[in-house]
Parts: sequence; structure tokens; C-alpha cells
Amino acid sequence: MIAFLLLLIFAVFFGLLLHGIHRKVIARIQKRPGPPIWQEILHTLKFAFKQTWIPKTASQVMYVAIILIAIGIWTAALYVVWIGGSLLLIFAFYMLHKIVEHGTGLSSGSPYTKFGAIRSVMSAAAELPLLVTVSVIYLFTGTLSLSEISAWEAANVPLIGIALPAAVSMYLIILSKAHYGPFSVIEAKELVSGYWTEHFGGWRALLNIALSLKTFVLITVFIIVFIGILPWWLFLIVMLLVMVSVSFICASTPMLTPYNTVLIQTIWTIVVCVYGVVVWLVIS
Amino acid sequence: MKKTAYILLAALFVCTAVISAVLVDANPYWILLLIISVPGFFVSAVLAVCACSKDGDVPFVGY
Repeated sequence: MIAFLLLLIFAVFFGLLLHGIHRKVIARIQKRPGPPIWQEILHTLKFAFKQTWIPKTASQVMYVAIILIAIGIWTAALYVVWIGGSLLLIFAFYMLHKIVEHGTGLSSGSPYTKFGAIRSVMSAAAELPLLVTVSVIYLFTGTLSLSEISAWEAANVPLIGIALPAAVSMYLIILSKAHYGPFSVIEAKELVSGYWTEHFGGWRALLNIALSLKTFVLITVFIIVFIGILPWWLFLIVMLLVMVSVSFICASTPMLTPYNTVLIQTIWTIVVCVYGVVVWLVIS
Repeated sequence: MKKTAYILLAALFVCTAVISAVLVDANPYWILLLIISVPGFFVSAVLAVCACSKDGDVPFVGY
């Protein structure tokens, strides 16, 4: 348990560092100096000690509870990764994150956050290819346990080579949840900060922690499932590479309209479904 | 660039990604090309959607 707590602390700080690197890479590509890479860590520490209260228009219980749920689900997801548990559980936690986005947006009573919450429902289009991803992984490996998938990869080949569309679907999920991305319509600037605009002070610090855990877990699962278990130093380098590649996309593309976001994600869903059917026919 | 140019670029990145994914089993260094081609595909796809839209090349920049 102590080892897991240490991992949890590391995941929070490394996740925040990845967010800082994300901002820095975007800024450098756009020829801006950008903030220092540890800025997100400093932000979180700063918010943690700022004056905090609950807005008058907010649903008081929901406003606070949703943050605890956010931290709870991503801590649980990290624990599932830690024990090499089921991929289905990870994706179930990911689906619960949709409730967090929606609940965070609706709980404050602000119109900006409500628009963010509504857009989070539309962005569910990005999650549809995940169902095919899970099926394809099961067809190839015969298991959905993370530890057994990585053991299968060690004995055979990394899944990224033979299940590329499934890997791209998972990558699309990471991209969709990245800040400043082309699909990040739920936190677009015309909604101020989107669904979490009204969560400030200590609440924002806790949300930052939950989102850093989310980034850490999603990238970790992506590497374990599609590349396999690596030495810890190589694992961190690959995590960094995945984050930088996401930052590259975010830096060189505008934010799409909600309609176009759903359009692209739906087209990809169709492609992955066709691929899933082909794999199923070939293997069975 | 025009919409067709971005679509062709996206198709090129898809071909590159598929070829490097097939070859990555034989030589792990092909993963470097994969790491470049998948984000390249997404950038091309997003820019293809934005290009020549009625509101301009960049219809909506939210940040």
C-alpha cells in the first residue's frame, strides 16, 4: 500500500509536469516563450492555498462531491493499472469521467460551465471507437487483463503493429482529453474555461490533481496495451514522446467546431468498426 | 493549402503509418516513423476539415 501511495504522489507530480511540458511545447511551436514546464505544479500549489468558497448559485453538495468523485475514479484507475487489472475497468472509469465533466459543468449554475457540460455529452463520439478497441484487443490476446496483455506482447509482438487502428483510437482519446486540443470543445475559451470555469481556489487545485492523474493513467494504459512493459526510464521517455506528439497536434491545429469534432470522430468510428469486423472475420 | 491537398497529405500519412506499423515487428526503429505519421494524419485531417470552410480557413479558434 505504501508503494502505491508513493506511485500516486509520483503520478500526480509527473502528470502535472506532462501538462506543463504540453503547454511549453505548444508555445515553442507557436513561437512564444511559454511558461516554465513546472508551471502546472506551481499553479496547483498556488490554488491549494488561495481563498476558497462555494458560489451562491451552485448546487452545494454536487459542487464539492464531483471533485471528490474525479479524484476517486482516477485514483481507482491508477490502482487497477498498478495491479494489472482489467482493461474494461479502466474504460469504465473513463466513462465515469464523463459524469465528472457533466457534473462539474452543471453544478455551478453558470451558463459557461453548462455549455461545457453539454458539449461533454457530444464529445462522447470519441469514446465509441473504444468499444471496438476492446474487442480487437480481446480477439488478438484472448484476455482483457493488463498484466496478461503485456505478457502476451512479451511472448509475441507489440499490439501497435498488428492493431494500429485500435491504437489510434486510444490515441484519439488522449488527444480529445488534452488541454488546447482540436477536440477540446468542452473547455474552449469562448466558454472562459469551459466546464470547470467556476471551480476556483482549492477546488481547482483538486481538479488539477484529478486531471493530472487522468493524463498519467491514460498514457500509461496506452503504452502497456499497445507497446508493452518497458524499463521504467524508457517508459517515462515514451510517455513524454506521446505527450509531445499530442502537443504537436494541439499546437498546429485550430479548435474545431463541436459539429466538426463529432464529424471527425464519427468517421473514425466507422473506419475502426470496419477494421474490427475484418479482424473478427480473419481470426474466427 | 486547399482541402484536397490536406486530404492527400492525410492519405500519405495513413500509408506511412500502416507501412511502419507492419515493419515495426521486424525492426523496432520503425516506431519513430509511426510516432510522426499518426499525429501528422490527425493534423492533416483537422486542417482538411477547416480548409475552405465558409467562415475561412480557420473557422473557430477557441484559445
